[in-house]
Amino acid sequence: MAHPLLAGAAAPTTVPVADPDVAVGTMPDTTERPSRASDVPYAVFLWNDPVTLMDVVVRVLSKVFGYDGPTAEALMLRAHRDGKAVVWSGDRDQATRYCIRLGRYGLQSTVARA
Amino acid sequence: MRRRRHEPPIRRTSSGIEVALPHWVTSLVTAAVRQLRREVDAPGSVAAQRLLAPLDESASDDDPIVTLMRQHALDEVFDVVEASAQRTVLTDAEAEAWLEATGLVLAARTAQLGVRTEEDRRAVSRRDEAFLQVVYAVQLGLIEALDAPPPGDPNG
Repeated sequence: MAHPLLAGAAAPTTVPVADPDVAVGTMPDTTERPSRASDVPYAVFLWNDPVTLMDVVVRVLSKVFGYDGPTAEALMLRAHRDGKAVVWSGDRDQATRYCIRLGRYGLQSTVARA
Repeated sequence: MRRRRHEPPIRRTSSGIEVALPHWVTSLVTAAVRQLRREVDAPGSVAAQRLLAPLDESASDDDPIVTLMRQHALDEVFDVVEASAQRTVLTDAEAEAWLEATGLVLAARTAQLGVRTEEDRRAVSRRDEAFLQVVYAVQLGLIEALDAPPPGDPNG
């Protein structure tokens, strides 16, 4: 069986969107239930760094997750203020793919159980 | 002919993302990207540790497939930048790769400088600060150009 990460990426528009007002480390509200027990629930944590421009972070969040400007900015500010922020939650493989995409811009992110 | 003074050095034109940065800026950034590629390829380097730090908080190392995917992602970025380094007009995908590469350069450089906090950030040397400011300027120029509507777009 092929490694699950080698399967095609899920369409970003079908995945749950992290609520910027949800406390860090808790499960954001979701509209979709992952189908595999081993895949629930994981979160992508974006870590603050004192170097990357806020404008860059907001644009990357919009580009990678499809968030609108205010949502991306709220998530960026949460990471800046709290040190890290949940920027997405859902199945583990997709969370890993998102981390890899964020890493292409030098942004530090991790995957952990939400 | 001379460029009008108010035109930004990176801008969207009908043919793509036009880059008219001073030569020394382009050279500085491309040299930094090439150096970063060498550093990432060196096992145990600070750059590799920063850019390939484990993604999974519950494990000390990533799944080997994940590591391969991450290395491939970085190689893709570096390949595009190297292939387009001498061009004055970039496609959107190439300009995006430049934005990615400059982010990687910043992340690796600040890891090498030991910058972890805002206090560390304020303490960087003037020389390092100058480098960061150059990279920031390039990044902001790229973002402005990438997000700009095509010339003649009535919604622009």
